[in-house]
Amino acid sequence: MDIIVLIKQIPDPEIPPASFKIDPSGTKVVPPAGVSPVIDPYSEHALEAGLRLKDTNTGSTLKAISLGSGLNKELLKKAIALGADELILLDDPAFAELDSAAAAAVLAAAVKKIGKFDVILAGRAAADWDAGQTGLLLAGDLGLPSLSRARKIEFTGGKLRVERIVSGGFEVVEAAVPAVITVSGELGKLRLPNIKGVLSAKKKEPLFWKATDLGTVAVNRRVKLVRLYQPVREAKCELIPGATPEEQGTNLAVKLRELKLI
Amino acid sequence: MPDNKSVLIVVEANGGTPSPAAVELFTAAKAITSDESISSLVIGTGARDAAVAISRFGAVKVFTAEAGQVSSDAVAVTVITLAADLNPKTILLAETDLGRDLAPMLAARFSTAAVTDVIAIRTEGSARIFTRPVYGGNALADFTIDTEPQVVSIRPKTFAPAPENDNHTSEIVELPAAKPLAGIRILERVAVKETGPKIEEAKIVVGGGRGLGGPEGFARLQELADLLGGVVGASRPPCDQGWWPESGQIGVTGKIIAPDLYIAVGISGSSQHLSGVSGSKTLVAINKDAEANIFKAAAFGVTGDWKKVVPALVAKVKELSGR
Ligand SMILES: Cc1cc2nc3c(=O)[nH]c(=O)nc-3n(C[C@H](O)[C@H](O)[C@H](O)COP(=O)(O)OP(=O)(O)OC[C@H]3O[C@@H](n4cnc5c(N)ncnc54)[C@H](O)[C@@H]3O)c2cc1C
Repeated sequence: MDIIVLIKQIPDPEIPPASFKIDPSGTKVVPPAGVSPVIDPYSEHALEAGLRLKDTNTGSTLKAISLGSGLNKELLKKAIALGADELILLDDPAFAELDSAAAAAVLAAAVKKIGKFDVILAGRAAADWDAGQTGLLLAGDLGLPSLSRARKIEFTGGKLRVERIVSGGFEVVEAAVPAVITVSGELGKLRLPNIKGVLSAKKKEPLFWKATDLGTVAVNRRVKLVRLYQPVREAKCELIPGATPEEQGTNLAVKLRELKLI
Repeated sequence: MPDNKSVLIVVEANGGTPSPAAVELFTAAKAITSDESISSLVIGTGARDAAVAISRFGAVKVFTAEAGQVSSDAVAVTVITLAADLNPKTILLAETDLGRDLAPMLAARFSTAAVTDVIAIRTEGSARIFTRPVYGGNALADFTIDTEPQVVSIRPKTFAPAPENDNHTSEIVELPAAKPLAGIRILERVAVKETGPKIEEAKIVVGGGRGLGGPEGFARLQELADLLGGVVGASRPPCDQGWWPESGQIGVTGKIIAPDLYIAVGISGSSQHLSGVSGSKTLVAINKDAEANIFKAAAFGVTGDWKKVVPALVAKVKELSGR
């Protein structure tokens, strides 16, 4: 089967909260110095889903696509190291700061340029804007059925069999190809590259596609970001006194009782 | 043409009852428009009964559509057909499994845009501003949507349920039952039983983090929680490591909790964790690092090794409660 996986590059979401800064314009995050971007965690799960499908369906191809401006080639080549046949970087200044709808429109144009595919995999959300829309918007733009929050994906008898996370359990769904599937963390961690993979990633260069390579795509924002700011946490922490940790533990119990919390 | 202020609220019905999150959508709607401009679609099982219940919250017209198995594509078709007729300026959904899927589906279909997981709505001049957490809760973002209909999904529990008005009734209009699209077939739904009490509903929660160092630490927290009549939860690393079940994870990707008392033990206070506990009435942190971010959110803090603090706390609680 022919598989497309969308992988997003984001600022490291695991930085300490104290290092998180917003630029004075109030619309952008300032990447902390010395902290490299990462592949979005849910995109990693989507890539793992794609690799598993490739493993179990001989003769499959896997193309990974990333979208942005000034993408980190070395970071994204991890997809090749792990077994992607092709890495396509949609990299253009025009692709900076897209909203979900514009990102989906650009991705749809890229998918059409690729032409042949059975399944498109994306993360259920990306850990920067947390919107959870791009995969499903892309399905809508391409007029394809979509399945969200997959924890297991199989391809048998020409059909997709997907387990989706729903509150209180899961749902088993069958879908025809082509389809778009968004992947949840429960699917499992992205594998580690082996030596052979690392060497092939050294040799293989990604394809770079610019806006002009995609024909006419509308990249105008429909959602306008008015302001980005940090929430104020007004809690003033009262430290529980005590000369030793044991004494503090005892004093905490007394305090909680005083407050009628226990 | 008069300024379009109309809002369409999509309500999920389960066995004749509107979902609690849906009732909160009426409060959100009233923040931006008047009762007369609200209509509602009630969709799911027992839609008609749920519609009668919903009519007390203020909509002029309530449309109902029975849907045996609520699948998002079937619901999307119904919403799309109805919205094409009603021409609402805004479509409000709850950020539930269904709403999360519907928002982008509707946005794509109407060539408009959606803002998901909204926690506040306000009007500034003629603009409606939708606020949502981004970057794992590190930041808040204010958005406007330039196209119509504006599709907005609201995070449950951020708006109070709308007040009921027993004298208010809405005109109820039945629509044909929703049919799923071709191409997708639900084979089965499997309920996974969660063991133990629900952390979302507990009054006292004791949370353990990576600082516990292993599953044994959780046994000590369980002892404390049992003593307090509370339940144990965890930050993400202990769930990833298998020290504590996944269903007990607290935070943006886990459960959102709002207990009277939350005791965070060996948790640093990442924004992803804090956004799941910010509704806690009193937050107590036990952490050996005085600089840990959790102290910025805590009302009370103990800086010390939990291995020494927790046993002393347990002993004193036992003494105070005469056990
Ligand atoms: C997309 C995404 C989603 C996420 N979702 C969630 C989520 O839903 N929930 C969540 O919790 N996290 C989530 N995370 C992870 C989050 O960013 C943090 O990595 C995580 O919350 C850290 O957990 P922690 O505080 O237990 O561990 P750490 O950050 O490692 O903190 C451990 C703390 O324990 C203290 N400590 C160590 N030993 C002791 C001791 N003996 N006594 C007392 N204190 C001690 C240390 O001082 C430290 O502060 C998410 C991350 C991403 C990228």
